[in-house]
Amino acid sequence: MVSSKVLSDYELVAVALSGDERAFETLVRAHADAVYGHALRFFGDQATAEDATQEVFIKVFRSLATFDGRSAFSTWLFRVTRNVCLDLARAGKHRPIPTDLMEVDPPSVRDFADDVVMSRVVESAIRALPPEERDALGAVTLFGMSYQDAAAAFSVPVGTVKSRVFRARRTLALMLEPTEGGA
Amino acid sequence: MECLKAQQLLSEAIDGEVAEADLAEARAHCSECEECSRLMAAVERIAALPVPAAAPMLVDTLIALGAQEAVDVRASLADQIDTAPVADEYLPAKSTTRFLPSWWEPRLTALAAVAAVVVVGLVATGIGIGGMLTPKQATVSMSEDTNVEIDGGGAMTAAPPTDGATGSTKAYADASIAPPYVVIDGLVYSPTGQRQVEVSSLVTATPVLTALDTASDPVSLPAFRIGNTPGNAVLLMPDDTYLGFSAVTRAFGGRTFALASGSLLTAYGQWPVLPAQFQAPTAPDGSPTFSFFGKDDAGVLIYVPAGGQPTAGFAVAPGTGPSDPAAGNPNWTWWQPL
Repeated sequence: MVSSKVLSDYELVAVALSGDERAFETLVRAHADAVYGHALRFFGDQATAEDATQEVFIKVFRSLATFDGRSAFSTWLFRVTRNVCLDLARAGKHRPIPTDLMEVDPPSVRDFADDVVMSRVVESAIRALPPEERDALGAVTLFGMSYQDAAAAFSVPVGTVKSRVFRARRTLALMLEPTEGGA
Repeated sequence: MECLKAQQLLSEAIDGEVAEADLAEARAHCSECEECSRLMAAVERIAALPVPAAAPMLVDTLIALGAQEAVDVRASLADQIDTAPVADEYLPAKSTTRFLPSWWEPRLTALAAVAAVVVVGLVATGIGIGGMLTPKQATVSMSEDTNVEIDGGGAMTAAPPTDGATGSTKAYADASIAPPYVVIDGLVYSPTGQRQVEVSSLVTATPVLTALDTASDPVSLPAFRIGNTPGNAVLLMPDDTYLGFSAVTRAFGGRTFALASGSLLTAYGQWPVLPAQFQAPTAPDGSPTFSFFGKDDAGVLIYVPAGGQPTAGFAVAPGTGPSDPAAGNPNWTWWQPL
């Protein structure tokens, strides 16, 4: 059984390039959530996010040979995911559903303790963040990239990534502090 | 510590990138600052929430896409194997001349000449073989599997392993001791026992210098490949019997690749090494000599030289599993088309 715990992502890609479908499956299981999460936050719509996720993996599978291992696979995948989402939006195939931070209602104290409700509220709020903050937060929390890798992916200093991630979290926390009335 | 600084450090701590001392200072600040404490409680609550997960149906679809891509990749590789030009040195011999890679020929030719001179000298002077050649440094006795006896007149009889080549290989692999190998025309063979052969089917190979055990002095024996069964060979023993051998092989892309050796393995218990044209890799990933390519048909990782294709041969790193034909070998091994 091919396992990402046994093989590095670089080795896993090499095995996939030999035609091993288990390697493809391992790559999918390891990274599908991150890609889908980014697409969902970008488009704000489940069906569109699923279409985009398929587009991403089709592109990844067909471009595996170009992955040279000089960056982490997650960094390479993040770049592909980001570009596919932007390309789909630019081509007019899918358009992000606009979200305004002012439209996000703070949760009630009871909702604040409910993971399901809070996840829905937070995801909605994340979509309303400035794109550079949302992307930085997603690179680190969805794709598991280090600040250094994220900085390289965005071509900005590491401190900038740290600031963007912090600002994103602070904004969310300030917006979503529970209220007695709540939504 | 200022509020914003403390908050940022605690945010970075969620991602595991803060020094312990800084983190302690930030926590100390938050314990005394109600605003920071409340904010960071919300930050940590949000960070602990589950992130979006792809629906199982979507994952299944992606896996199906991957499986289809794997099929396409395999088809593409098969096309490459079918259409890739094969160097002349890898093509089967078309006549009864020796099958000999060009890089190997000068070395074996010279060695065979030396061996012939030594044997002739021994016969002419009446000196026993064991008294003339430099004694080998045996590291382990394998006499329980293969016994070679040389009588006073120089006649040699060989008792092959009783469990056949495969069994012997496994037994020796378990003990991390090289199996009983000989090298015929650059390829590694294991003994299979005495066998009857049709002389007309024999293709003359380079004489083999081997002790046929771990302790005796090596002697030169006429070697032949069996023309109609690739990977099979025989040595002509002094008593005119034939000792059979089969090549040590592995499969890739449905084709058979044989283990090559850069050393002659003049006694049993010696491990094959990379052919002379390859520098031993200095890193587990095969660099600087090889780069990772993929897996053979048994799932063992294989490596190719820079710009090379596995159809022309590939390397395997040491440390393969106990059932692998290279099991126990501490060296990188080279496998070329049979």
